[in-house]
Amino acid sequence: MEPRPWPEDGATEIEKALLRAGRAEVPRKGADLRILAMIHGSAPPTIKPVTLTRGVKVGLIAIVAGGAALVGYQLSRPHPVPPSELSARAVVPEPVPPVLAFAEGRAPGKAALPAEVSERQEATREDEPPAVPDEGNARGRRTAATARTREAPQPQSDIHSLGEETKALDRAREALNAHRPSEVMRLLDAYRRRFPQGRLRPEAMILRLAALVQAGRHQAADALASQLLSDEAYVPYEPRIQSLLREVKP
Amino acid sequence: MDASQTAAPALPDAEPDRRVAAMVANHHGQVWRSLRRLGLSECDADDASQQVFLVAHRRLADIAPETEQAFLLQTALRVAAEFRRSLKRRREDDHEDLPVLVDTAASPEELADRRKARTVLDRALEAMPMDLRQVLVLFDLEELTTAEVSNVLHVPKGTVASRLRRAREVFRETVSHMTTPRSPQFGAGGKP
Repeated sequence: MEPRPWPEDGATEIEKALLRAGRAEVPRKGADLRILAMIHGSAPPTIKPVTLTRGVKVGLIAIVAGGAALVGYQLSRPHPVPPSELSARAVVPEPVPPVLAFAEGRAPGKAALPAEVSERQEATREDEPPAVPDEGNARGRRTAATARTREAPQPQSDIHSLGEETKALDRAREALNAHRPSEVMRLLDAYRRRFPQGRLRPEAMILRLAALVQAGRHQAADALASQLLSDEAYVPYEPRIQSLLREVKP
Repeated sequence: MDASQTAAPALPDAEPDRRVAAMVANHHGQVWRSLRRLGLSECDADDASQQVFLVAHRRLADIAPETEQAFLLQTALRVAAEFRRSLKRRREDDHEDLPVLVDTAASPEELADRRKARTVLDRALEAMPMDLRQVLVLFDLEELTTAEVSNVLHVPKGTVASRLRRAREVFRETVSHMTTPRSPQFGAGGKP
């Protein structure tokens, strides 16, 4: 016979209070994002400071000094390519093969939306949640709107940007915890612009849903939740989405 | 070589990343709380959680989706045991940092203060044998079913039920001892 949960099984008031307190404890804000960042190698786990021996210190200083000298030498040499062309090269993104869009769980057709359509979808309206693919559909946008890309370079979503993504979502989560849903939306819009292919897009979407619930925009939250639940990429997040939906439809 | 061939290595990476992110989203709170109730401080629980999910990430291919929770909690129990052993060796008992508050009786009203209540809870759990403590934490605090606890601990369901019964008895006795007013003539630390 399955034992009954304790509070229903004759616990005293003090025991109930203790159990409630134990269940209510939650990890620190952003701890989950730090775990993800650590797993992906962009942020080390909380580590103790390493004491360097004198020899190691001298070696490090020599390496840094040598590197600086090399950079100085390279900069002082006449450059065969005009600097304007160089900077343009630096910001023009590489074309993204359709298979990569597929790997991210997005239909190539969606990724190849014309720039104006993507822009219209991207615009966050007060009464309507954004379309699900918006957090990362800028691949198509990048090829279609190179000029805008030159003005505002879009960083590649690689291992090095994950720490920055974590920080960006940390700020959004802090705003959510402080019950400032409109600020959460603003931060998430900024996140989407900065990391169109961010690895933490699903997390950003869940935060957006939570912000809509918190703002009392239940219709929009319901619509967004439906979109997320119909997207295969969000299947693992179903328990969380359902839990947020319960707040909308008690 | 065409573009799709160039990008081919990215394919296997996308799905594990997403799966790990979902595991963290769905189970981090439970793993972290279990680590706390198994005797780790907040900071150690943060570190231990990282280890738990790092192990899960490395062994992702071996974890069936329906056993994710059990795998994570099993790993959490093992990691918690390692942390506790390490703490013992370093003589850095977390509870030395906790405020001393159980010398005097605590009423239900006082226990409404959750932080204080958690300290009492942790002290009561600390007084329990580990096998009983694990069952109490998983069943009564994390609200797993008997079958789920049985999967995590690799013991029969009957054993889970009997351990749970004993665990509640021990817990009740400890809490009662900690919260019962003592006779003033023996002072705060004396036995009645």
